[in-house]
Amino acid sequence: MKTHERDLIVIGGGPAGLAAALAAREAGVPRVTVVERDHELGGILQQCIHDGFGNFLFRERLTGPEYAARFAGRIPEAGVETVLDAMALEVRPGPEHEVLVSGAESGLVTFRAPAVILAMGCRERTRAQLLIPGHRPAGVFTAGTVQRYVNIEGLRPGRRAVILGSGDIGLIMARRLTLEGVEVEGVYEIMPHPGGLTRNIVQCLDDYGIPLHLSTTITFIHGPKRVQGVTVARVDADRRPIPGTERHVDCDTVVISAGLIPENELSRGAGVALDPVTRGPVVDDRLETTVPGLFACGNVVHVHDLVDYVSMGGTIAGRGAAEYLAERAAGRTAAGGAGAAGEPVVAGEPGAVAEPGVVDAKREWCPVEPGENVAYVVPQRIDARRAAGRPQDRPVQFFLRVREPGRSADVTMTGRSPGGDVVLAHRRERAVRPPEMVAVKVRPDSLAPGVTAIRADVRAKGGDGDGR
Amino acid sequence: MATDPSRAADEALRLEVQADLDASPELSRYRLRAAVDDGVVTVVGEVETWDEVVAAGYLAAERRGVREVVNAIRAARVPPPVLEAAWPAPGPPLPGWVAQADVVVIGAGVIGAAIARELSRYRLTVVVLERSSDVACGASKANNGMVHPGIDPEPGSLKAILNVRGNALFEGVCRELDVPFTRDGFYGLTLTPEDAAILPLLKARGDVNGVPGVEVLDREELLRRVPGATPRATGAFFCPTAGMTSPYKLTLAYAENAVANGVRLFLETAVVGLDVEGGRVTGVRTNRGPIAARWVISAAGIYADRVSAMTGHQEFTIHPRRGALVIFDHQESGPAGASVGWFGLGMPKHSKGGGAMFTVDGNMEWGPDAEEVPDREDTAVTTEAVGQVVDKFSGLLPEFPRNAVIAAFAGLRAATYKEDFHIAPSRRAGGLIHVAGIQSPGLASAPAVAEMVLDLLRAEGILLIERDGWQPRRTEPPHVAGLPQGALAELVERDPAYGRIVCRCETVSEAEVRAAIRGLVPATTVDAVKRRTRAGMGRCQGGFCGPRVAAILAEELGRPTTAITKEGPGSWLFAGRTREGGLT
Amino acid sequence: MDGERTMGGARGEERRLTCVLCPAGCDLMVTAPEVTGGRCPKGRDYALKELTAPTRTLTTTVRVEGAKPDRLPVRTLGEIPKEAVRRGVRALDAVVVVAPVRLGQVIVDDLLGFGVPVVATRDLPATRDLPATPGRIARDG
Repeated sequence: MKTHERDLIVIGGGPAGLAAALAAREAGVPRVTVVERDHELGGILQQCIHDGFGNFLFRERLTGPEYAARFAGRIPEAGVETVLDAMALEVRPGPEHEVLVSGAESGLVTFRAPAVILAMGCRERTRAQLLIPGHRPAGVFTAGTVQRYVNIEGLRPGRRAVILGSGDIGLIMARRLTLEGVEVEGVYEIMPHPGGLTRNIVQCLDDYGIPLHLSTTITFIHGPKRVQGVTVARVDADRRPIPGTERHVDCDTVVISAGLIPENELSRGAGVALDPVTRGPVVDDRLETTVPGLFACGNVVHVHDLVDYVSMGGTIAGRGAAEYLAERAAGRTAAGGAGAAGEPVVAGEPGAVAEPGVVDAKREWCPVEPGENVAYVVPQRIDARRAAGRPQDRPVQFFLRVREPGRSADVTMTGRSPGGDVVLAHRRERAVRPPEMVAVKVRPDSLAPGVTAIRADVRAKGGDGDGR
Repeated sequence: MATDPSRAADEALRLEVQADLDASPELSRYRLRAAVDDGVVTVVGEVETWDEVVAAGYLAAERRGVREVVNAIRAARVPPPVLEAAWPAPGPPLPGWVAQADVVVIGAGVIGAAIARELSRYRLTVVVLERSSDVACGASKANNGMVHPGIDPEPGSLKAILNVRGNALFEGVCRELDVPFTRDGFYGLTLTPEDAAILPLLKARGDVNGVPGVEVLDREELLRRVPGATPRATGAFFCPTAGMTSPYKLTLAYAENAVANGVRLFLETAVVGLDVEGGRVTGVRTNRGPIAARWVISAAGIYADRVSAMTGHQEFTIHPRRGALVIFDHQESGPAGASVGWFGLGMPKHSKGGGAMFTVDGNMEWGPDAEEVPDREDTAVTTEAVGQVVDKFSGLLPEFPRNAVIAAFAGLRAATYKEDFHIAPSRRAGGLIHVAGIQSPGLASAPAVAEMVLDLLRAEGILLIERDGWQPRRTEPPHVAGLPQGALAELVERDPAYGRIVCRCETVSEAEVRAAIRGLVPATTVDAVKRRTRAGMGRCQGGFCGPRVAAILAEELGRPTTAITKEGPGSWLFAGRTREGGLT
Repeated sequence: MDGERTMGGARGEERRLTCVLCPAGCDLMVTAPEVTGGRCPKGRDYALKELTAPTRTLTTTVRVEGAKPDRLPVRTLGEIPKEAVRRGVRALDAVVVVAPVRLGQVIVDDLLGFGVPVVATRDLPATRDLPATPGRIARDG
């Protein structure tokens, strides 16, 4: 079996992986390889044919394939190698990480590289995980699968559908199915507030008169061969069905849009520590995981609401990997070892560490913790000294998600330092809602006074931001 | 038919059963009626609930001398079964169809397939008829895969004899047929001092049944051997011969080996009638036309009593007892090991109570429970059933992460009211052999059941001459998952389609999917591919590979993708294509 | 037939709608030309347009010959009246494009006479011998 030496392997050719690969090349990493399981780059964006992508990065409302093309189109000229139709089966950590790849054209090959970026994306929660009672008939699909059937394969999944969960893909598919002649009877959301973006509720449901039933869920799927209908019921505050509120809905299709789960089987196999809240790797300011040289970005880390943020994360990870490779090369040089051919050799402090494990041990981690009304913050820890030393145009990018909706919210990042608490960043949001991520940047110079811990708080002035 | 002395015995039995029905506090008000013919009790009347129907059946089965119960009682409050009408539509004879056979086997579950494979040794024309689109579509695909040791059945029962014999045969069968089989044993935990006190009696029953190596353990020994077991345990028994297999892989392997040895298997072919002349069966009628046959073996599972009724004289009733199972993700399962269950005096009367097992694929699996249901197609999973299963086994394995469930499903046990296997020639039609009432431990017993059926056929006068060149071995096609790296590299080198992974959760390649569709018992549906390859069984439950598998099926079968089904007729996946008009 | 269930249309009476310009999702009360309920002035223009002449970008697929998969994602280059979206999608039923197709290629010059073209939103290379399974598509370059 062949083994290929590279500087950086990016697993996944979606928006995160593409941005990471491009950023790494721009930062001077010579041999970058993207492994993608599909026959083309772009990942899930290829099936997201609706518009609304790229508002942040391009000030345009692109469709998914158009957004993907903005990055994928730059890959050949950037000199990034792509291995398509290929699945990464295993990531074996070591001083040189190994990625076992199986592909139709590549065959079974091992890629060996000091840095690996995990960008496998996420998967959908399934009917089984929700434990929806009933038969197991044909006609129960996740929203993303329906999206692929309709938008790529041109297959109509049924004639009359109900949608369970008001996640964005489900809302988008409510509109798509309606336009494709599938009657969408309604969207059922177990929570008292919608799971998707307001814009999608207005333009995908309201535009087409599709009702959204909050605090309601499917309690039974009737079969047994093809879906014959569902029983729906209102739920109480603990999300338990309220007896007597059951109602039968005739339908032949159930579309499930009840959340996404970061895809971290490879990460777990590689020994990366996972955050039980995000279900993604614990990462630092350059999106490095707890295994040195293993980076993660995009929906592998936590589920994003906007693809622009995914691309931004990819860029951070790509630059981070370049920085790591430079440190590593410097360390090797100092230790008297020769870098592998083509490896970037950057001058560094004499006596810098030679082994990745030692790099980790020498770091002083500054933990980042969720405070008031914050469900989680990513990154979960930063190397404050390292981050403080970066140029001012490379701030530390934090993403957080609130627990409860609120209006006129103050988002504050507070640092603990020897001289007392300091406000690292503050911004006012007109409204915050759990489905919508909040992005906060912390300037490197604000970290200078020796910050040892960071807390994120969101304090709303009042009301709820639900607006519905 | 019956002689005078037996008529007198029937009448005596009728009086006893009638007295029992009249004395029942629960049932007497319904004025149910019993009749007895040749030791078979038939009960008629109308009650309110399904549970009462079942209770009356059990009551009628209690007296000594009752061979079987035909339960014709209706339940006023239970609507007629709506799901049962799903029989294959009439169709033309399939390729390879024969108008005449020596033996027709009805049903391609594990029992029918095992019998067919046993028959394939001999110079006979053997036909297997299966109403579903694949083998193993009834209880054989929806059980927990346990190869029971044989400690539970009543000594002397057919279950006890065949279970212990079948268990002993399992290793050899699975080796010949290349089917996964593990023998890690079973721990039955007790949770009270009283239950622990009767463990020696249980061991004695095992000894009588011939179960090798049963041990009684105290609490400390149990906790030492099973680290995750609840500290509330008071003791346990251990059966080292308990094992696990893949029930549908075993069924498929039996069927494939039978087909390789000349047996004809016709799928989507349902028996709709039996031809009986002069007290002897002469053939079967199917939705695809008749087949004349000298011997008919009914291994029809949940519908075995319907086949019996086709003689004009029903000899027993099958009542479906549903069992739900929950499956957990690989990563939560840890290293495979022995199965664990609960044992105690408070156990349900007609179920061993399931277990917590590692499937041969390494997933933790809990269940099944037991629930009587009126509809023979009602494999619904209910909130209550899943809750009960999860609560029960969380109690035995408190540290196990109960929220890592990736699937829940249910199957139906084909129980008779006598609760033993009913394996016997029909007393109403010569040449017809009933293999009925097969429920747990049916899987473990399957190899022994096949042996017994051959013995019965011999006794019925069949001439069994060994066929030249019978091939007992069958080989499982290669699977990418779990292959050592070197072997995998070789495989991909030989056929690059093994390198193209279509199911990322279970690491299933395109070549495996194609091999399943081209197999001796070809997979023609998405679920049939899933059973053979595991594509779609993982965390994403087919979200990723579903479209790919459907496309490969379409290509291999030469059908449009819109004609691909999940599990045969009625389970359509697509209502046509987009952008082609035809919308209102 | 064509989206009669949709909201919108201003006839002077008070209408409610949700502002989609930011996550705040303000409930706006509109009695043209008065707009109240917004926490910022931006919602006013949105609301008036939404009630007088709401428009949307149409995205869907069209059939393709000579490529696999045989559907091509397309969009309107600009917005069309909201009430015409369903009609626009139906009108595209009749369209069949022959591969190869380039991103941005005009598929329909003027959809339903609104002066808005429909363009391809991706490259779709022609496939000489059509593979029936995904993952076998020929790649150009």
